Amino acid sequence: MKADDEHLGAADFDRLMESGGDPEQIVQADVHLRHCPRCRRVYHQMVRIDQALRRLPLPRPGVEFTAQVLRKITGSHRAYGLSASIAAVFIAILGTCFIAFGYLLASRYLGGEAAQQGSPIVGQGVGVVVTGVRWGISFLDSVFAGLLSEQLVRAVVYVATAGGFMLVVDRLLARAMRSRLRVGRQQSAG
Amino acid sequence: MQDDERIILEEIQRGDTRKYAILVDRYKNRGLALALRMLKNREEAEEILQDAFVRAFRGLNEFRRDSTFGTWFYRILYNLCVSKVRQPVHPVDSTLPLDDLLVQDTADENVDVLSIDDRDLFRLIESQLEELPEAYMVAVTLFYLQERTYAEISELMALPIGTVKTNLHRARLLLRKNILGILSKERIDV
Repeated sequence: MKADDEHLGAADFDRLMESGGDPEQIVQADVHLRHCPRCRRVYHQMVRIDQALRRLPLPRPGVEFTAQVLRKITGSHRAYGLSASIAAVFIAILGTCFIAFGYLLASRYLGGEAAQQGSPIVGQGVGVVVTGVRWGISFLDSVFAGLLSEQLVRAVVYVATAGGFMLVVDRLLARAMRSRLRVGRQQSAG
Repeated sequence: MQDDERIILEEIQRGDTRKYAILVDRYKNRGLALALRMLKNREEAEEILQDAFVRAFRGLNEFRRDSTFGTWFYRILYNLCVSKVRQPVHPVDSTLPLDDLLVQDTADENVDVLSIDDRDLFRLIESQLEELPEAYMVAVTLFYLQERTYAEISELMALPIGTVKTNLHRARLLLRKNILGILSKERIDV
């Protein structure tokens, strides 16, 4: 229990400070403290340091600290948003090129047998686009009954297709961004 | 986890990133105390602290609610500081018997932490915390300033709970010993 025959040891002071360990030893140390001014003084010193440690003034970061952190976070969002925007534009350009390519091919093959039968050059994908466009043109042609030129009708169909394509891409990207920012609720529920 | 913290985290997850400012304000001072003591450079400490907040925000998806945000955040901060420091400045000498740290026979009765005012004691403690082995200093900072439990410190520092308790005990003894030494020296100098 004691460092020597007369005084408390480090382990005794630890027990007293933490109020943990064997209750009997704590009582013995407590009794000793009442009768030993030297150990009592050490104990009070340790308590004083312990209390001072709990009340140490905390350093404060600069006044702009929180704002800087938020700017960094928002900046990362902006950077992500920017990259998403660039990706959206890139995909839109690719999509438009794809549709324009389909338009050229369709212009070439529309009315011919190749679009219907499927050309080895354009492949099955373009064949589907061409068929869809043909239906669109036929539909608009029947509605407007020859009021519009065939070229204009074709252009409207392709612009509408490209617009729809870009809208879908935009929705998918927005969804991906939202899910990235959201912490999985299932995980938190778990 | 505190209820209001849970609500704040849910709001952040729903996309209200401004709410993160509440958590930053809550943990920035205590976080700075830890970073400052480990890095001993205010500029670097603030930088690392900002980095820790940004990383914590970006990693909210990985945050499991089995611990508090504070413990999780301090772990990020502690790991960043450790990687920055690379090696402890004052290695731990665990071979020194505890009772040798317990200076009881201060000849000069006038040398006493009980007789100095809070301000001087805070100053002495701050200066002597820097002289402690890093493992002791971190344990003291986490326990007293960050108000973490033994279990949390154990998890955070990847040390057994018994080691954490011993480190804290040794830290208190060392602090008292060193402070008494300084007070004694200052008195002799005067």
